[in-house]
Amino acid sequence: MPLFSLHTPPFSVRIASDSPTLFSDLARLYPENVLRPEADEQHIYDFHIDYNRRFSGKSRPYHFRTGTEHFRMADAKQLIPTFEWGLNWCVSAYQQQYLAIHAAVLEKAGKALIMPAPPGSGKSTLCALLMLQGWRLLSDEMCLIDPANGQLQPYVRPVSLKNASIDVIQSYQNDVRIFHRTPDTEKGTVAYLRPSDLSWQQANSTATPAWIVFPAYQASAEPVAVYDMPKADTVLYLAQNSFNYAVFGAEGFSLLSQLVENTASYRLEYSDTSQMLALLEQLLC
Amino acid sequence: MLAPALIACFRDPQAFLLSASAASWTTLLQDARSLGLTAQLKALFERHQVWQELPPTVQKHCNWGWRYYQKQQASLFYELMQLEPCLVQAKYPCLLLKGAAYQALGLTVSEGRLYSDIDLLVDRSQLKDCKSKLFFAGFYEPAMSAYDKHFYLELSHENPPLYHVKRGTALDLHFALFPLAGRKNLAMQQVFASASPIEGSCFRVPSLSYLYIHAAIHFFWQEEQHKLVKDLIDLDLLYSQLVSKALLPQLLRDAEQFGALEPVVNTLLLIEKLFKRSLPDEIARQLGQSPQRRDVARTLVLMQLQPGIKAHLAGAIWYLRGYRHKMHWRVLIRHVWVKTSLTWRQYRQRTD
Repeated sequence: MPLFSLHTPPFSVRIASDSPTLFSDLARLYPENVLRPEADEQHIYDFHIDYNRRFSGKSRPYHFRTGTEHFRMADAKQLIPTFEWGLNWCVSAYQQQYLAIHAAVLEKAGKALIMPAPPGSGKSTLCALLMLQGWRLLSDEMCLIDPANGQLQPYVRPVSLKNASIDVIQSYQNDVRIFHRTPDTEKGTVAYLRPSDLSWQQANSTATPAWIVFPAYQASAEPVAVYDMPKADTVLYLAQNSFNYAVFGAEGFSLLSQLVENTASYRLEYSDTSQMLALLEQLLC
Repeated sequence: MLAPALIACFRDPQAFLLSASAASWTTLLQDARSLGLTAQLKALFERHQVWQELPPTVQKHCNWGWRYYQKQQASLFYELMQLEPCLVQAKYPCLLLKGAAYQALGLTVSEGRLYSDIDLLVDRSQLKDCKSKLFFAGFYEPAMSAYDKHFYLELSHENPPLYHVKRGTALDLHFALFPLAGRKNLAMQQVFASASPIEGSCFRVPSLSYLYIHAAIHFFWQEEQHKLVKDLIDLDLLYSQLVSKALLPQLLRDAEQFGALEPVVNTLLLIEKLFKRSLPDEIARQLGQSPQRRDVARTLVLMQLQPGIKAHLAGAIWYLRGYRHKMHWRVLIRHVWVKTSLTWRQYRQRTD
């Protein structure tokens, strides 16, 4: 079975799939030096993924597996969303090098913005909008904190847009290219935005955390409002939204405490995207 | 015979290091992660003093596993400390088994080994008392059907799993080392007689040879296929510790008295073949002449370690064979009949 590979620092993945379209579909999301048509025989991969139909027949689903661990099945139409979720699962379930928080991370002028938030809060929309405004994307899903120095490690991957946020991004910038619009997934309609060239070019450059912003989109709220977040609340929220806080134990508490101590934390409620972006730029830069 | 990467590595880490290609390392890391053995790999490489020579990616993955293991180890000791005030009141021996026992004794096999629950052993006559003590320490037994409860208490070797109401800790309270339905007539009093206290604790642990016998029973008289490699590695590490303490003759004597010579003889033969261990001459002679050798069963194990259709076929036979050991055929027929009837009755109730 043909093998290809994905080199998204800091993790590399080897993929075996009998899908005739998976590679070309992924090639629309990842640049050539990241998605490679072969597996490097001299490289030790972090994860090997099998993404195959287990039984013959074109209507049979694909199974996303790493080793003996099964993640999920996907029909041919949902190949890409399930692949992206599966990759997130591999990293969030197994990596213990970084303290990982469910959050988007962007950087501008050497300072990084962390946006932790539950689904539906507008995190990915905001993340995509800031990237389109020139911020460097580190991740729209996972904030990786290096315990050695507290720096944020990029894990650049396509930005996942869901439901209404797809149209928000499309209307914000008409010429933006959105790929693999997939309806009827378990998260509704999902689509993907390619990270900017700047984000890929600096995919190995860490960033210093400066702000933590909790976005909350509320259609009936004020156009935009910002509140200071108490530091203790911020630490607790980050801990609750961490994939591996419990594994890091006391070190995790110390890391999060230092992170919050050295950054400014805000809660950002908005209903007007343009006003919110203007305020955010003013507040942070 | 081509051994799986993990067995080749545990057999001789230096040789593996010298011969491994990048693809072999990728496979090794993948297999180790699937079986929860990544931290044990780190311990292995450090024991054999090859850690510094490993590729950085391998070190990285071993460190990921080790971090997780450290958290688990801390949780295990914390749980044991929580159990102490409750079980110190017991007037009968409470023995730790499997992972908890390995950790408490600091055995080589415990280095980096993950656990999923705590296994305790008490005499069957003390089961009720022990359960009530655990109940007052916050452990509860989830509701189940009368037949399932009967199955656990009369046919299996343990109480239904207990869970802590706040911490969610899973605790398996054993009253035997093997399902009663297997009718193996194992001399359980020998396990209690072999046990020794853990200093500063109310818990006791079986002797090293009984820990090996327990592991051998659960490897050789069972039907599961997905943990064969992991269980073989546990057995090899326990074996090495027995050898270092010159306890192999004791192991064979204990196994015979206990009534479980068959799994011990055959796991030793598998370790000799797969891990290329040299059995002491006297032991090799005893095993060579033993009527307990089961060549077909060992071949089934070896076949399951290879990829392909033969492994699936061997796995299916292994499954049936495992059930034959765990349940006497009369018990098995009755069990299948009762479970089928109950499932049918539930289906009818749902559809009516």
